[in-house]
Amino acid sequence: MTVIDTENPDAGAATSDVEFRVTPNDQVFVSADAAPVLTEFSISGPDTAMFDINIYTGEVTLKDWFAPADGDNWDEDENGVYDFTITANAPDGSITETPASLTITAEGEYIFDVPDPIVLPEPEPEPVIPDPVPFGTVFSLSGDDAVVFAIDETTGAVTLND
Amino acid sequence: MPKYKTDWVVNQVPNFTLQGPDAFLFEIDPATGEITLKDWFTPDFNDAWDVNEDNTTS
Repeated sequence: MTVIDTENPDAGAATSDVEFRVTPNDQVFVSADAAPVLTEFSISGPDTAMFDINIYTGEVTLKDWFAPADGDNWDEDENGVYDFTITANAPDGSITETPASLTITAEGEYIFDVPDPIVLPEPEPEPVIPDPVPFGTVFSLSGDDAVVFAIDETTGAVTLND
Repeated sequence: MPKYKTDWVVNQVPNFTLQGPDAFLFEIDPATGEITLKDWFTPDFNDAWDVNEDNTTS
């Protein structure tokens, strides 16, 4: 997105490119040229059309319409070895390219040779907000020892009598 | 809620606007340039709302 100050006569200074990035565990506004928030993975190479990659874990999966079989090779050189490159773009600006492949054996077995995916932490659970006390409820204490305690009639909070 | 504020050098009364294919998800304060999410927009990594569905608005 581009933020534009329509009143600024200096066109070069009147715009700013901004991105809103949603990651599995975070949401942030950053400048469009900012480094990745988390390490981001991408896939490239001659045989990538049949694969997906999880941008934040690097997990490579087959497209749901792609069911390779030995003898029915869809890879570019038709040898049953699907070659691609996984690129990791880290927040510190470093870029790592790793050759990877999927081989279909004569037995129809899939053998992935890819980097281990990253296991992302689970997002923080939403706080549990208790149901509000029903309107009109009045709390009271009873019992032999109730005399030493006080109770908030609205919330039911029990405290020691001062 | 995430917010974004550009550091501007402003010599006159500004009028900030927001452009781009995903701008409909956001509001911008024309005086300060602060960007906030529309109140109906709840970002979800598994349900991308941006036009090209890569979880990065442009």
